[in-house]
Amino acid sequence: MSPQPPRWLDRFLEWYCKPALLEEIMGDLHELYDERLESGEIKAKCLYALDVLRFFKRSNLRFLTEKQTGQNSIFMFKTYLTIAFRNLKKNPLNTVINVLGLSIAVAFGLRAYAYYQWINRVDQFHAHKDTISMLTYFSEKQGASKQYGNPPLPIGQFLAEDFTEVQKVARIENESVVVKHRDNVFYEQVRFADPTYLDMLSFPLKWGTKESLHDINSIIISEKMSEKYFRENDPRGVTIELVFSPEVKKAFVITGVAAPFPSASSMHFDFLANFDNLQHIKPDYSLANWSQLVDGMLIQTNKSTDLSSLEEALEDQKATFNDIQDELTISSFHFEPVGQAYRKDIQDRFSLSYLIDEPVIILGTIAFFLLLLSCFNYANIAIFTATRRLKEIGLRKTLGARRGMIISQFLIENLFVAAITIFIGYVVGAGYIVPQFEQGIGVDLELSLLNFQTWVFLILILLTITVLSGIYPALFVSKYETSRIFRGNASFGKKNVFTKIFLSIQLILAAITITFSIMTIENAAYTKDRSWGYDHEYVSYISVPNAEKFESLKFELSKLPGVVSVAGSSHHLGKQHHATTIEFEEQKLGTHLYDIDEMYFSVMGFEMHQGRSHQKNATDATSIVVNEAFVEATAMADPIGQEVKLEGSKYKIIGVVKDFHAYNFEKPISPVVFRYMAANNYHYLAIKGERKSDPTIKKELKSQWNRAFPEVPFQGGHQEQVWGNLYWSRLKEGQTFFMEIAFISVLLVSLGLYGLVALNVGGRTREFSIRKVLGAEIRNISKNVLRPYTTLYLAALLIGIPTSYFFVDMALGFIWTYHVPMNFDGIVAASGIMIFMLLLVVLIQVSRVVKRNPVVGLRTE
Amino acid sequence: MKTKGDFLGEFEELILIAVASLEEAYGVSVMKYIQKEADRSCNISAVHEGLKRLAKKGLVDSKMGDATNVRGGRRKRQFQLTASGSQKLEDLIQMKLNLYRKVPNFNLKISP
Repeated sequence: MSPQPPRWLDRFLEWYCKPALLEEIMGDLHELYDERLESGEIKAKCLYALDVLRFFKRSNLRFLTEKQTGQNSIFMFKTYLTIAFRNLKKNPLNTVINVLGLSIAVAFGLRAYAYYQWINRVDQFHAHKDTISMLTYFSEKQGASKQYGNPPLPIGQFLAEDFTEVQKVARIENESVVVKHRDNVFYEQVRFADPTYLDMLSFPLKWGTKESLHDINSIIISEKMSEKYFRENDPRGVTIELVFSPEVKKAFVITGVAAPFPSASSMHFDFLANFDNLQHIKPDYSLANWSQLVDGMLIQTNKSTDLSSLEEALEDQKATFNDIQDELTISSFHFEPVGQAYRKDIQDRFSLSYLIDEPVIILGTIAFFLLLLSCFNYANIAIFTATRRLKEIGLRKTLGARRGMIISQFLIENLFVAAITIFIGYVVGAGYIVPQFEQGIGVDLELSLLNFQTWVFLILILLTITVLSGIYPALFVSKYETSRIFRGNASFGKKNVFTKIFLSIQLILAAITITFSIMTIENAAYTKDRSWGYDHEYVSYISVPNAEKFESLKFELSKLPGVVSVAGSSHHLGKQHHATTIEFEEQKLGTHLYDIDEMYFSVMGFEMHQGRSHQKNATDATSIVVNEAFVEATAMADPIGQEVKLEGSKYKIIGVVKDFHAYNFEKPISPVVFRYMAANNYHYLAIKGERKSDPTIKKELKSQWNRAFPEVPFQGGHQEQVWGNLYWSRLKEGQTFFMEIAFISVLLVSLGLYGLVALNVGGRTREFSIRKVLGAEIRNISKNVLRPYTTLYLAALLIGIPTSYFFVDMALGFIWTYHVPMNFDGIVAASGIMIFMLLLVVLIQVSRVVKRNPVVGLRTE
Repeated sequence: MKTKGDFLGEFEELILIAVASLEEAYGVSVMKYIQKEADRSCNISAVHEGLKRLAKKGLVDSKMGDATNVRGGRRKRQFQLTASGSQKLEDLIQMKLNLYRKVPNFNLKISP
């Protein structure tokens, strides 16, 4: 059969064409198409599309009645566009202000849209996503029920064996492991999972087969890792060594390379090996151990399976788990569909990679702010310019135009501007704003015009801009009566209440953003100087991979010049803690436990609130030190001497340490317990130096390390770096981000203000000329230019100051857990900047009035 | 639809002639006739529009033809001149000839 014309074009024709005409038209078109096929299929299709469009005319449309087909309104639209174009050309300043402002708003809106779309696409590419779910459970800690993503390990086996509706189960465990290939030694995240993992999730392989995962000695790596270790070579068959600990090593053969993961993915891996390895690698890892939690568990069911019945069936297992250990009490199980898991607030979701999704609301708010600001600019300027077009409107009305026609004329002009804006906004957004943002968050948002939804978004925003900025001016202008226009006593826009309201709202919004960005700058300084609660600048640390060499290493380090003292511990601030539960009277409290030696407190430089820290004696083995947050959470009146239960044994509180930040300032301070532990299980060495962040100490640490563990990458550094560069760079990015927004909004408002003042002064050319002829000085003129704005400014400041204070205070608390206390610096600066802005704009206009020859001014119309 | 009196536009006239001279006059054949004989480009939509106007003026009428194989089984709308259509065509040509003959110093090489 010969190729047919595109089906969608036929459907389009069927949709619009009058049924009576359809057969002959389509027949003729198909006949022509068949003939044109001889000169090429593409050409035939193009001509076909052109003809279908050509038939889209009034006489063929089925929606129009006989009467409507007679009116030539399309021709009228053309005229409207011509007039719109001429008007834009006549006021280049206004056009630039409007188009610039709206384009910026569109570009930022595009960023919010692209990010939102990306977030919604995460994990949606899995072909079986409707039948795969992640096993989660709810548990209560400190009174709040939260969802957790790390269920007890034996449930996997139970689900697979006892339920026919469960087709597949995949258990997932992540391990941080040293990977060795020839001379390359890196710390990597290795994911251990059942082979069903690759069956369930849609991660196709570039090389190799997914069945190879059944072999316990094989490993599948990601495209990124393949490039890192082997460039573009096919690494299949190469052996790499995984070092779990100095004693436990295992060689794996690479049997597959995964195809590049979609950018919107949260469950991908770097290295993937068979789950059964864990039993051999970790001596205490038992599949039947109910107190063993697994990093993640996925199940695949039949499409029709009711997950809630499965959840009920798990009720008994809950009791088994709760009886066997007393750290954690499961209140219920819940299966979370895999397409939604990443968006839920699930704790300990180790099987999903970390995703940031809070900015959606911030990005959206910002875009909306900017859109509002620039729409107000547009509306204000439109009202003002429209008063210059009163005669045009009067004439049209005299010739029989109804109000609706004038409104539609103005809206069409608006649509024209909005379309230009969308175009520029898209170019700016897709070309600069979005790529810059992508670089910041490190993912490809895949914004594309090939996506149908992008078009829907652009058209929606086009209509929003048109209506938001155009509806009021259109209503306002069309309202005038012809007789009043020609009599010359129609009131002009400067008395318009709405202009004033719009301008005040703009000023208030600007005040908020300026205040906010200044508080952000202050917050940066505040965060940098905020005390961590201990002498973090003097402390360095290393995490020791081998307990045997711990003592000798400790001895070597304490002899180093510049070292004051050295402490050993099982956990370390900012690196590792043990999450556990403390029982006190009737309460159960989730706490962070640190096992330390007697030197730890003096090395870290904690400040005691009351009591003392541990000493090296036997009685202190049953005593603990807590922090202030702990005391507050348990509401103890006198904490010293109180007994609490921890992991089955009783401990006595001997001291309370002042609150400190173990983790970065985004994380709230949690209750902490320090326990004295003899030196058999230490992993960390904390070193106190004589000087702040001494580089020689770090160098010495590295050389000592290389002597002791030549095969393991160095793990340690200054305590200052323990929060990672990412935290600090994100903090900095956040600040520049808000600065940019404040700058742009000030720019928008001042542009709008400039446009308004320029129009106002322009409309009063004659008045000022007469004033000048009669001897008015600069002072008099400035006063007259300024007058319409003084009350407005006062009102805006009066509302703006408390609003900004309230709003910014709220926003600071929303974005940062610990932030600079709210003060008036930002508000004073914002008021200053806004007053300066007004004076500058007025000054420019006044200087123009002063320079102009009054005779020329009087001669103008 | 409102028409400009009973006068024919130049393109309408061409279509009318095409309908008169073609054995089977429908959209595509009329378009090709004009393209070939009058040597001017025109598109199918314009031809349909012209035919519709002529029908409105009562100069042509039409009926649906038989089902065909070539165009997906769709029928053609076949046009033919009405009595007033052929009268109109005759009048037109007569009028034009009369007018041309009155042009001084204009030697029309046409057989009457």
